[in-house]
Parts: sequence; C-alpha cells; structure tokens
Amino acid sequence: MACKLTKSTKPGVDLSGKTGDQVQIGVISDSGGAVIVSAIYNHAHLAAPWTFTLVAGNHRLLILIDNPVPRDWTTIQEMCNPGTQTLLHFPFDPYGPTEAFDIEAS
Amino acid sequence: MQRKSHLVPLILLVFSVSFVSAAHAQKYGYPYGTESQGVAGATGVDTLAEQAPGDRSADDLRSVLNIKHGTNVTKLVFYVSGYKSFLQAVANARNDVQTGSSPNAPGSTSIVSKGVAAQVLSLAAEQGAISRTNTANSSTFRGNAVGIARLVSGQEAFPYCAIYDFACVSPLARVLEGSSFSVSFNASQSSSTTASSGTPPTNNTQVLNATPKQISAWGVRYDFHVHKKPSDIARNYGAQFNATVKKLGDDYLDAVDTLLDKIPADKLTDWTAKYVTLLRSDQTADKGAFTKALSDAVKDLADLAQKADPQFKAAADKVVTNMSAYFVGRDKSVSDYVNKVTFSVSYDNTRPANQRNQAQSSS
Repeated sequence: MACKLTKSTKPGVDLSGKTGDQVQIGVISDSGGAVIVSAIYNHAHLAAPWTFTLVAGNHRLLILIDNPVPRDWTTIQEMCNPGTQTLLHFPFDPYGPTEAFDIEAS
Repeated sequence: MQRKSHLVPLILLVFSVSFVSAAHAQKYGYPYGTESQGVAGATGVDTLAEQAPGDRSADDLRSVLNIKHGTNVTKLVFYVSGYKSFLQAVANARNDVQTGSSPNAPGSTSIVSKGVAAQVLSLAAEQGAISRTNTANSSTFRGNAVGIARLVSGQEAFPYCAIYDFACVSPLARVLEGSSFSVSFNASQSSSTTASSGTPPTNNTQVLNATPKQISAWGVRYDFHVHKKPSDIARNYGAQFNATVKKLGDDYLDAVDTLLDKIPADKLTDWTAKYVTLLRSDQTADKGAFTKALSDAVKDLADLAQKADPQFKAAADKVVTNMSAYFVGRDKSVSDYVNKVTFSVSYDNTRPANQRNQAQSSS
C-alpha cells in the first residue's frame, strides 16, 4: 500500500489522511535498538505490528518508544509498502520517551 | 571489636565526599523545551539560546515548544507535580533503592558515634539519603556513599538514571554507587528512656550519638556491574520486553493521553504564538532572559491547563506515578541483559567464617 498520511500545515494538525485508510507505523534508529513499546490511536491501544484505521475527525496518535542508546537519532515512520515515510526524526530522550501526532481524517 | 574495622565507614564517607563533584546526575538544562544536548544536527532550546533572537526561526521555536514531544510532557509534569515527587515515585516503585549489607548482622563501629559524622548521617537519614529501619530494640541505618556525598553537596541523593544511560553520572560516581553500608544500633542501651520502653528513639541524632558499645552490627557491600557495549545492547533489545513491562508502558501512555486531553487546543495555540514571539524578541537576547521566558512558559501552560480542568494536577501526578513505574519495571526487566557481569562483595562482622562473601553472575 502507498503512504496514507500527508504532513499538514493546518494549525493543530500534524498529519492528514482519508477516513477508513489503514496505516502502519514503525520506528528505526541509528543504533538499531529503538522499539515501540506501546501505541494509542483515538484513545484505543494498538497491537504490534502497530496498524490502525483512520477515523473521521482529528484524533491523536501517541507512541511510547524505548531505545537503549540515549540521544540516538530515532525515526518514527509510516510503513508504506513499498517504502517508508518519515513522520518524525529526533534524538531519543530516555526521560521523555513519548511522541504524539494529531491526525485529521476526512 | 577491632579498632581498624571502625575505619571502613569513615573511609567510605570521606572518599565519597571528596569526589562529590564527580557525582553529577543528568538533569535537563532548561525548564521547558526539547534539548539537543550536544547531538550534532539537532535543534533544541539549548542551541536556540545561543542564537540572536532574530535568527531563531519560528518553526524551530514551535517545534521545541511542542507539548506533544515527550521531553516537554516530562518537563510539564515535573513542574506541576515536582521533580521530588518523581524521585519519590521511583523510590516507591523500586523495593531495592538501598541495597546495603544485611541489617541483621550485629557488631560495632565507633566512627558514627563521633560528632560530625553523626550529624552528617543524621541529616542524611532525615533527607532520605540513608534509610532507617527499626526493630523492637534496634535501629539500622543503611546508606550509599554517593547518596550521602550528593546530599552534602546539595544535590539530589538519588537522581534517577535510566539503566542504559551510562553518561548520566560520571564514571567515578558509577563506581562509587555500588558501595553501601549498614550500621545497627542497640537502642535499648542508648538512653535510660528508651531502655525502659524498649523502642528506638525517633530522633536520628540521638541514636547516632551512640557509644561504641551500643552499636550492635555493621557491614559493607560493593556491587559492580560490567555493562555490555551500547551496540551489543541495541542488537536484540526489543526482545527483552516482557508482558509486565508492556502493561506498564500502556498505563504510562494512557496517563499521557489523559493529560494531553486536558490542555485546550485553542489556548495552546495562543500560548505557542505568545512564546514564539517572545523568544524571537530582543527581550530574550541574553541566556538568562531566554531561560526565564521558558520558565514562564511552563508556568503559563500549567496554569491554563489547570484553569481549563481542575483535575489537571491529578492527571500530572498520574503521569509521574505511571512513568516511574514503567521506568523501574523496564530497568528491572532488562538489567540482566544490559549487564554483562554483576560482581558483589560484602562483609559484615557476624558472617560465619565458612560463608562466602563474594558473588558473581553473568548474563
């Protein structure tokens, strides 16, 4: 499947997509150690392999990551099959290991 | 009791105090905002602070102030609930903050009975740098040399460091952190009043100003961990998470989700615009004013959230509790994987002669 999310410039919205589309997310890092521990979309927990269906409206995707190498460059990505799309690229903070995105689907 | 053995706790104490400056735990440098912390190519409030206000891009400022980044969630809940409450929650989640030598070993040392040392240990006990447990007739103090040294120098006695964050404390502090001691006092001999009641006095100084005869046990212990290389730890790290840790992670994420819900979106937009403008203005040209603006920013953010929902503080407290439980659970779960070898040596003055006082485990 092609990438389903698009980066948004709308205030309060990070990503946008089409209602009903299925999205899969993943994480990689320079060290290779980054993992998704837990994820929530629209207040519901996701299970590995971290897929969810876009729901109409603006809903939060929240991810808990761990990486045994502090400050390691880490990338949250959409798994697009083929390929991936970077959603966020950041040095991992072991004391603030969550990241959130507001996704608007219509 | 041999006089030489009395020197052990003093040596530990003096040694640790002497090297206290090396025992710095990692702390955030700014009250709010993501930080680059020296990572090449990263932008954080620490890099923006070095730039002239006009050179700070609005996009960069919006990004570093974004509450959706975990660093900012942590800084916000530390502001609302207090960093000390986080450390207390970590201590509660751990049952083994103090891994001192066995408290039930009777013996004697005269060191802590000498004025200054007694005062230092008393202060340390009151501030949580050493723990005190009471039985019917005795009080046992267990402590960690680095904890006391940090306390004496005005630092947190037990800052939290993630198990794999080897740069969180200096190499020397990491070595010293493995040392611990315990001293037990026979409280029934400490004063005529306690002798009659058989209950240890609540006043630490009263117990610590004991005579050598009143010290019923002492011991020292040293634990040393040889950790794997970060690249080796990273190799199969994901496989180390068991169901318990994943559940703790779910609970932590639920708490963050609830917290973020309580911050009204429209107010957050106004708040962001206000501080992006301020941080690009000449009013924040110097580092002190820049830091003060970030301090005001986190205060304003907490205030607007609290005004919108009076349960915001409770939500922040919940994040602190669940985050601590997750960190401690994760650290316990991956401990054997992260550490290549764990070596322990202990001595207490009543250990039977035929019992080993060294242990080594490998993973």
